[in-house]
Amino acid sequence: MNQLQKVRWLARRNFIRGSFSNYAAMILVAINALAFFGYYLHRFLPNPLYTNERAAALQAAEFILLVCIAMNFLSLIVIFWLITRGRYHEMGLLRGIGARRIFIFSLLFVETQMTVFCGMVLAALLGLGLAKMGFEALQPFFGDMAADGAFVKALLAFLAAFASAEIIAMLALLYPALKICRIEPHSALHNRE
Amino acid sequence: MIAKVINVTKVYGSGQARTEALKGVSLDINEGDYIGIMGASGSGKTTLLSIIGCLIKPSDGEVYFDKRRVRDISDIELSRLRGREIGFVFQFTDLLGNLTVLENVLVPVLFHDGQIAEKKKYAVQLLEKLGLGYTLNTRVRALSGGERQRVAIARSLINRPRILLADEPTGDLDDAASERIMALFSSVSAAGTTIVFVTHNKAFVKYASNVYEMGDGRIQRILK
Ligand SMILES: Nc1ncnc2c1ncn2[C@@H]1O[C@H](COP(=O)(O)OP(=O)(O)OP(=O)(O)O)[C@@H](O)[C@H]1O
Ligand SMILES: [Mg+2]
Repeated sequence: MNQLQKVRWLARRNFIRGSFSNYAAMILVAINALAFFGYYLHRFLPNPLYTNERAAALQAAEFILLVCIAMNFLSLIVIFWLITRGRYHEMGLLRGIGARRIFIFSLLFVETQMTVFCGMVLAALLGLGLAKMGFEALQPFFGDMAADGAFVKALLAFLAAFASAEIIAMLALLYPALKICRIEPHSALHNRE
Repeated sequence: MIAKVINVTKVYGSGQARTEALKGVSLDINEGDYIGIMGASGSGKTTLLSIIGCLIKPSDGEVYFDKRRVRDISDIELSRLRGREIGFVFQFTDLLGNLTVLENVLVPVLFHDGQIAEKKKYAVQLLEKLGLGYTLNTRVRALSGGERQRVAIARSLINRPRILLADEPTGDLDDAASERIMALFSSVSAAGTTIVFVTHNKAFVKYASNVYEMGDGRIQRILK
């Protein structure tokens, strides 16, 4: 068992049996991924028929997506901050029985990776559902999916959305994780209150 | 010599909230010692134990662990010591709520070289000696106070520490369970582990080779 496997041993258990806030984070990540997907798809594959005609409306839609992403980013920071704050005692205990700072940091990082992964799966499911239900309504926003090269572009948009949502989640985690891994082991000494 | 505390003081807070928890304590702990610490509530027992266990730093005075000055040891190295050389039983028992009894006992293995799988047998052995063989795979949230405490004791021993620091290990337990723990401690001590434990129960003094009484931030008397 190397160090990463040891971190994962604990992360997996915390994740599976973990708190409700994890689900909230998961949903935010999913919404983020979807918003990014919409944004990139529109960028990579605009609908030539409508781009000029409704340029202003489309720009507004793009703007709304970006605002949505920014708000999600802030919400993620708040959620991660709440999650880590609720775990001060636990992390102090781990430090007290021998965990290094890097272990605490990696633990949060790996747990968040799991959250992000589930969020992506959720996003994919939601995305498929949305596409099936509302494709007509969304059509002005995107180009012809059947056109040459459209599939590759859609795939690119998908990967870019995945990567962006991942980066956003990790950025949101950074500050709370850095803060909590500086915790001193003596916090384990006091009664949980 | 495994640990040496020289004229240590500890001040918490400042201004109105200032508390002098330790007012100059010196103590030598040799390899194989079995030390009991008694004393009134608030006399500084937990503070002293956590200074020996490298959990907190003293305000003044010197602490040596294994002939090294603790204040010169890096954070990484201190974590190593806490994980490998020191076993600590906290006064307010703390377990990881997401894990089962057996998993909790195995957590310190994450901070040592060994493999989780290799240590399972020893973990089960420890839990059985503490009378917890029946509840290995329960989530710890469901346990009673006394059961939790015994899980914490098993956890403190899993890495076979050189020194065991136990802060009221029998606090929540009835006489029979307490005797069981003291018997385990005696066998651990006989195997060469140094033990320092805090207790309010005079009956357990008989197990220790040295007993100190603390009062008002100092070691007031040597009872044995
Ligand atoms: N983190 C802290 N901040 C402020 N004061 C503290 C802190 N920890 C301990 N104290 C104070 O230091 C003094 C000694 O505390 P300590 O916990 O060492 O006593 P103790 O002998 O273990 O008592 P008990 O038997 O009740 O556990 C007490 O007056 C306590 O209020
Ligand atoms: Mg105490």
